[in-house]
Amino acid sequence: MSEELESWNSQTRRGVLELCVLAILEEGPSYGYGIVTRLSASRLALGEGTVYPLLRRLRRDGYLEAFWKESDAGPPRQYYRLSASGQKYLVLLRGEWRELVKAVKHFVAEEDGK
Amino acid sequence: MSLEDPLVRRYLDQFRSALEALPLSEEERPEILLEIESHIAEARQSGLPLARVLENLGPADQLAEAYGMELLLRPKPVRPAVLWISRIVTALTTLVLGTVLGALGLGLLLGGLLGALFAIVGPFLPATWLDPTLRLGLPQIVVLLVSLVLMGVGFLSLRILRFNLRLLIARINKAFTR
Repeated sequence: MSEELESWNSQTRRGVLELCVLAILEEGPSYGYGIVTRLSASRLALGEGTVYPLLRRLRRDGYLEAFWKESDAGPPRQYYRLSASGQKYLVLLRGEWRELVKAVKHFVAEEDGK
Repeated sequence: MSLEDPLVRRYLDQFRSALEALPLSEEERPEILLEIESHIAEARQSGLPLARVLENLGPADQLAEAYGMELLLRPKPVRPAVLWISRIVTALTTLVLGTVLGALGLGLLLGGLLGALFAIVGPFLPATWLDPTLRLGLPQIVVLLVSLVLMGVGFLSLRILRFNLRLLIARINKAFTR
């Protein structure tokens, strides 16, 4: 049962990770480790290794822009910020998310009420 | 510095090798590596034990695989202008190669064949059958050799054309099965 739960968790979180990363970057530019830390704190990241490939893909898709900045912690940091199309994409994803939550809430509330 | 730790070096080396297998551009590969290096340094700076940092990132080959999964699903977009220029260049090259190599190949192959035939059987035919000026006063062996060289060049041209056509067919098939 725990294995099934883990698989369900993994699939569900994978879908919303993209939305969360974009939402974090809406607040302002951030770098990989900063984003990973915020997601880990809310137990959203499936593993730190999943965030970096996602950032790379969002950048390839043109939703993110990246720039390097020197860091005191060691190697330079790659910062990301939302592009104009990333901002539009986030608005769309947010809308989809609200619809999804509403629909799921409807069923889950019914089940709980039984 | 944590990046000089043998454990980190081994992890990064494994990650680098695993990345080699992915269709990344020359700019992307070092950027990805540097970003992971930066992550390890940041996490160590925050006080996490190295083993935990690497464990959180996951095995190096799986991390590279995750990049592969994300990137292979969405290949790097090609700008429409670049795509059209590439299509026009391919079409023109095929047209020129097809026309030139086809005509050259067939012409030389058939010409060479006729020349060789003429050089071999010509002397045995009645003098009235073939105009002696066709031999240009050249010895029979020279006509034969020149004919064979022409046949060879014609054959080579047709082989190059076949190679190009196969390449084109493969590209068309790839475009339709994408």
